[in-house]
Amino acid sequence: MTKHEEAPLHLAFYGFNGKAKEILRIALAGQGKNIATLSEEGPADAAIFNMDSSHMEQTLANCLKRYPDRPAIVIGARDPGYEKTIYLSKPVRISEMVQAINNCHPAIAQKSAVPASKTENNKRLRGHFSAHEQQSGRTVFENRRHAKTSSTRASIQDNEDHFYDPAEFIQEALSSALAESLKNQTALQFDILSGPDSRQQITFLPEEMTVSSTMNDEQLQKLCATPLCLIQYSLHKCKDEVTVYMKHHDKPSPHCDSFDSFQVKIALWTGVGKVPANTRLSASLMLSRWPNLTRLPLIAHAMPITALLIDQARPLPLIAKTLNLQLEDTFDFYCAGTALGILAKADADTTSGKSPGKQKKHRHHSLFGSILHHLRGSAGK
Amino acid sequence: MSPYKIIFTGPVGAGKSTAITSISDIDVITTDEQASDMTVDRKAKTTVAMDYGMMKVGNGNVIHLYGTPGQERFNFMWDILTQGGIGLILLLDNTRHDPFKDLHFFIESFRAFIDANKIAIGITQMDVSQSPSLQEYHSELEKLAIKPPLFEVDARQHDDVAALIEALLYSLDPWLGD
Repeated sequence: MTKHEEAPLHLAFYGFNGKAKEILRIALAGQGKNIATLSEEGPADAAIFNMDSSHMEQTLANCLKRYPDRPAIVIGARDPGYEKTIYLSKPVRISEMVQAINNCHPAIAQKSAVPASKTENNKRLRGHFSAHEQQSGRTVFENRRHAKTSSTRASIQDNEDHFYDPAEFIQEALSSALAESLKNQTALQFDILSGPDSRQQITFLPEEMTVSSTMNDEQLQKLCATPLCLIQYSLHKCKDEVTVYMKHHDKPSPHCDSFDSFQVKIALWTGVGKVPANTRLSASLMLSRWPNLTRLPLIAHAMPITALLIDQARPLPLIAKTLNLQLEDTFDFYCAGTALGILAKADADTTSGKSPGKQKKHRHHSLFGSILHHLRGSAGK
Repeated sequence: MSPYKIIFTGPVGAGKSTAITSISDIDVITTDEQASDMTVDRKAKTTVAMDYGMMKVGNGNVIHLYGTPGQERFNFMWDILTQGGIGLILLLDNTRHDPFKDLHFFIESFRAFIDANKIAIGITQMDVSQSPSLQEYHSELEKLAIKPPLFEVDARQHDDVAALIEALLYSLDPWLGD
């Protein structure tokens, strides 16, 4: 195999610990002759999943939904049976890995022109590309990209800046564990290694409805923003919730949050102004109840958005338009409301272009404004 | 004098007087007397007429803050107190024997006013008793066919009481801006 003249593919990777990641990196640079590099951040051309790592089924499903056009290579002891993926069984030989990546790399696939049916790996290819796409390789890829960048982004849904993938962060694992803890009324503990000498614990205590953590808010915020691939964690049941609780509270500065507050924190700190990838912005949303705003972290524009949504289901663009906000200004509320489970899609969709209708400002509108100003100005007096 | 007022109501010991004190710009006028009936179990002194406080919000406007007496036998005053009111703040004490009974009683008592205006509900003493939960209150409110702001509050905290009033105002007018 000759050294690739094309720029290497950027590979996103999921479920690899530090050692496995390093081996993969060396293999791609060595035997793979720089066919691909591991992408720590930014957009990736393809993704590789270690299915034997925890929560990978969900991660893979989310990624396939989020990036339907992105080739996905899955490795594991068993074939998870997903359509549109390239499966490699463990133990994986480097040559197989390179071949699989070749199949993701349209230019290389075109150059090598190996008929799909003649290689073992191509047998495993389950329709990520149509036969025509595999033959025409880069042309199809480039056309897709060109179409995306050159066309006017008529739909707000096309704006990728609005979205993030929860599966790429620890949010999803934390939320799942919290839900499981609550459902089974079992204390669960996360042991997290997010860097050298950075071993932390997060414990869900359903009886108390609290989350006890060795991390302060700043550390938790940093953890939320760290790609999942850089974090090692394990989750286990605590046999004796009381013991765990006491153990945590014996330590100096334990950090406690209510379940709701914790959920909102991780949603806001992971989203940082974006919404989860599976969000359909044009969908009408309804709010089942007011959030407990006095005991939650500050959520931007929570009061007016809640007041508006509690009366009538609306999509985010319409909320923004009605309240004279930028669309992005509504995203924090969306993330928080979804995390709390109080925001859901309404039965019928409305389009983002729908008229916001006539604003029915209260006859004491300016007086109310003065009261708000007064209340905020006299805070903490 | 401008007629704007916000009414605080709720059962004995829910924190109405304290809440008004937290946000009033004047010394609150109270009409506390030695409790003489079942109220004595909950507090030594209780409001027998009303509490009165005031917020000076600029441009010569003042918002009068009225607290109703908590005892039901004074409920003849409630209609008078609510006349011209902007909205209602209902405070409920979560340590009472049956907070839902209180909830139903006050919502039904002020139903006409709530339908014409708005209500925000604060639950006090949740640090002492976490049951019923806010979720359970919301379920009860569904039966009453209203979805008002409902927050856990500490009536001594300005920010908590202010948040209740803010939510009340946004319920009346979501276009207030931030």
